[in-house]
Amino acid sequence: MQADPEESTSMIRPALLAVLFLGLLCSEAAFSYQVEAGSSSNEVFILLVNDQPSAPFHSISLTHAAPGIVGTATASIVPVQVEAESSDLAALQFDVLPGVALGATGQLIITLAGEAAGKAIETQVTVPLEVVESAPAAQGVVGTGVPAPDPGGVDSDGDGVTDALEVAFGSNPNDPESFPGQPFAVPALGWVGAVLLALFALAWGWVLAHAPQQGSRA
Amino acid sequence: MSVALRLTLVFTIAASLLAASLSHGATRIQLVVHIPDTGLSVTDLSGEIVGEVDGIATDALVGATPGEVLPGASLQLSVLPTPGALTWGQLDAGGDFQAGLPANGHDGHFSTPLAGAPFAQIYTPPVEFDLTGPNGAAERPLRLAVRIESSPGEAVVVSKEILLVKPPVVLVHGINSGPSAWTNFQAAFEATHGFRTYTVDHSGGSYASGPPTYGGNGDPHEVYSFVRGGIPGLVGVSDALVAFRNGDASAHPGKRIAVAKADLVASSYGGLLSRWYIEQAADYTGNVRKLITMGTPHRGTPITNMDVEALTNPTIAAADAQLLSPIVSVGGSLQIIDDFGFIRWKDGGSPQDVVPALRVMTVGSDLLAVLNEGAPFHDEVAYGSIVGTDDYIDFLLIPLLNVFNGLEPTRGLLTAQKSYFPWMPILDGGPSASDAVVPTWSQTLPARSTSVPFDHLSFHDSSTVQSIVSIWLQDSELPRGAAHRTAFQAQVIPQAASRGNAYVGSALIGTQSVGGGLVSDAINRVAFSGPTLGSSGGLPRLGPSGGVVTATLTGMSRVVSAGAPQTRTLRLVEDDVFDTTLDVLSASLDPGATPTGELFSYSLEARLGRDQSASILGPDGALSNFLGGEIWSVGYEIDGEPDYDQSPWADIDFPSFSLPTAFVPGESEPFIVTAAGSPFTLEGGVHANAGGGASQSVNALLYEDNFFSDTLLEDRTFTISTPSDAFPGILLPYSEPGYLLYKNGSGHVAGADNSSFETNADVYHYLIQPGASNPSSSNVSVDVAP
Repeated sequence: MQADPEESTSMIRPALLAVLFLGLLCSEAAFSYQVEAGSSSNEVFILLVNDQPSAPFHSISLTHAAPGIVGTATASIVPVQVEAESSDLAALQFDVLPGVALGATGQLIITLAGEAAGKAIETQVTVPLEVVESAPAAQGVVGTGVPAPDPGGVDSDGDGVTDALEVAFGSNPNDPESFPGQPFAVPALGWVGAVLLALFALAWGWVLAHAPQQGSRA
Repeated sequence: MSVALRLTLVFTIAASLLAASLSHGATRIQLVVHIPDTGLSVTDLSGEIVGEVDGIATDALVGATPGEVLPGASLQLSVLPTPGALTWGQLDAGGDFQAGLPANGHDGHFSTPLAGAPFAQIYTPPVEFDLTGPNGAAERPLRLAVRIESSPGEAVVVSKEILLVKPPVVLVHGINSGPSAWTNFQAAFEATHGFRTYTVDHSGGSYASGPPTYGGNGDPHEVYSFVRGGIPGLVGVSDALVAFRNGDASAHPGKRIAVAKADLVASSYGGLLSRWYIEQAADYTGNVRKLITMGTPHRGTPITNMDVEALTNPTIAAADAQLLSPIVSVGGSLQIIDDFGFIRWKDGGSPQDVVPALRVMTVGSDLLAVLNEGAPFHDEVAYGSIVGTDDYIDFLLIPLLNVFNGLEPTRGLLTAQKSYFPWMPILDGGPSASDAVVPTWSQTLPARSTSVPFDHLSFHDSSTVQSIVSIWLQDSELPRGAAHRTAFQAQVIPQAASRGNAYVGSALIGTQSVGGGLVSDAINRVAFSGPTLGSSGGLPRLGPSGGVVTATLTGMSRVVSAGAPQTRTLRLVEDDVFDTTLDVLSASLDPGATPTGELFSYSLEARLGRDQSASILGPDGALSNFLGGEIWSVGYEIDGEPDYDQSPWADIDFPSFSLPTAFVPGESEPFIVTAAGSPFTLEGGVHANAGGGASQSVNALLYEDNFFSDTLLEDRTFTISTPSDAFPGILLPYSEPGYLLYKNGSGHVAGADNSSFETNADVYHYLIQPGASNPSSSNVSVDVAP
């Protein structure tokens, strides 16, 4: 008995959606940043977004705890203050020791501390590093060009991020709904996620190809 | 966002990564980090402070049972509802987040609100500022924090520094004092011990009676409100708490401190007022944590029994102050204390104003009974008492020279220390048993007390006392009211029977005035009066013509048997190298309705006078002085009572004697006499030959003074009636009118009996008195009219 194409696709679609979900899930679990042994002047650019509705984030400091694979690390950009519902750029520059083994990992812990509304606020970000033979030059929430401080820069859509930084972080400077890192900050896909996404794409294409046409049973 | 759009984004990112993967060497990583709006707020759980607070006072109190805490101020910490795991804790000295607070309670405790709000915590401070011991710091910062972990590897810690501070200390002065008594205490206590202090001013007594001056009516029913606070322009407990909450300059400037309770440190009567507020006031709100008393008469002090009697007993109150005598007399003691600035009653008032407060402190007073009987002390307040044992108040102004020698007749001029109330040791059982004002048995709260070698006026400025107070205010084991109640009521106080009044001199044994309990008799003072007595320079003065002086002896005696007169012998004495008895009174003292054991007052009159050599004499003795004028010191004794020597000395002035001249009224020398004559009255004093009530002949003569032989102008003998209280030997005044000098037919000055044979004559007054020498006056010049 020939299978009913409509029935087949109706069974397959939920399964594919499940594969997509798993793919997205795995993509986050696979988060890591790749660096090369002996590389210098690697830089972690942080778009610091102050969500406080009325209080500036000030007295900012940037400190770190580096893993063994990192040689020196220095705060290269530290904003003096980030206004309420606004953003600014911070950065940490670091070297990777030469001779570290491929596949070596470590956690670079960056702490941004400051004060807002009379409270001390300390945000800690853990950056998992992995030494690879050849690392992408730009990773994470990237757009076009290298981020640079943009004091007084134009913010066309009024979302608190200047146009220049939106471009650098890959969001639309003219769309207030488009914000760096949204809707999810998935800066890299692990191999499991990539495989699952590829499977999803292939299967979705097959489903679209075999889907019954509108009005064919009439 | 649709799945299609999400997919598009994923592919965009993937493409971007793919393109970037072709690069080598230096890389860059771009992240987006949010400073979240956690909405962390730290507020006063009581709601007394609106908005955020900056600190909290460690004003809790350890309870009676293990683990029990009587809470003080608490804070509520809360954040906005947020996804992720919340952990409450603090930042350590290195700025690192530590979950929770130390289990030993040193930094306080977190607890979950009863309502179970998932995003809130209650913070209660430690029960003392520093559980490890006294700490001189004024504040201790603590960084309370919450850690929100939104995802693995990404967490935010939000913290707020709050100040732990000691509760406000409210200082309550005693009666006859004011806030300035604490000036040095405040300076040292704040600088050295880290407390913020406030001074109550109840010197005005009743709030309704007007602005504060020294000495109010003192009735605790009303005056406790000064301790309570809330009176415009004055500071009490509630005002101190408000100052803390508002970040007032007097507290922790600019820092809003959550606080529920203050500590009280009270001196003398201030301790009773504080206790009344805590234990009796209907509007007490539980805002006191600890009360430390210094020299407070918890069971009263006999000296106030004396003072009240002195101010209310007409016999005692009517006794006049005379020179130095009131300094050592009970009746004048309050006035003297006032003179030296230690008692001030309301401006325009009188010593009576202070009676209500004094009456509160009398041994056995009704108000003390209210405080101490039944259920004294508050279960939710901790108490401690500092007990002074120096029964001599130092009045030394100039080293080695005691200018207040008159304070106590039994002390030497060069004695360094003098008892403010010289009879105090007698009342209190001996040396070191009082602080010179309040007996130690009355100052003591037995569950926690310590003795210090200071007198009643020296507590405040003592660094030792300040340290003790500081330690106790940071001592979590300071006993609460229940423990004090048990110990206080179990205490046996033999002196509690020393109710009533006492008027005693002091007996010196060795270098101390000693005694024990109340004596049977209480000598008060000698006061002088009489028809010929004047005054000069504040001193009673008996003129050259003499006259009977009445010496009123006032005092009190204990009733041996109710209703039965008590026969006693009182001796009026003059103080000299060897004291001289002037008058001996065998008196029957009537106790009236005074019950057995109580003291009743008496007032008896003795007599004294003078002769023409300024000797002092009484019916039973005399002491001569041939050098002229003299100030005599007079006191009295009661026979058969070993508890005292004699009453304080009262001084009286007998100026040098001279017989008055024959003087024509309305004229000055030379007197001009005419043929019609100029009459005048001859005055003088005559030696009494017999006792009072009789008549006595006086022979007063006028002479003209010649070089060889004086001429008798008039020889007149007249009779005077002696006063009923006169006695032989006393000089009695006479005043005889009708003497006459005139110009006779020869143009000479003449008297009733003879002529001078002179147109100008020197005339004098001559007195013939059997039993004594015959005095004469100086001359007056008399001329005849042209």
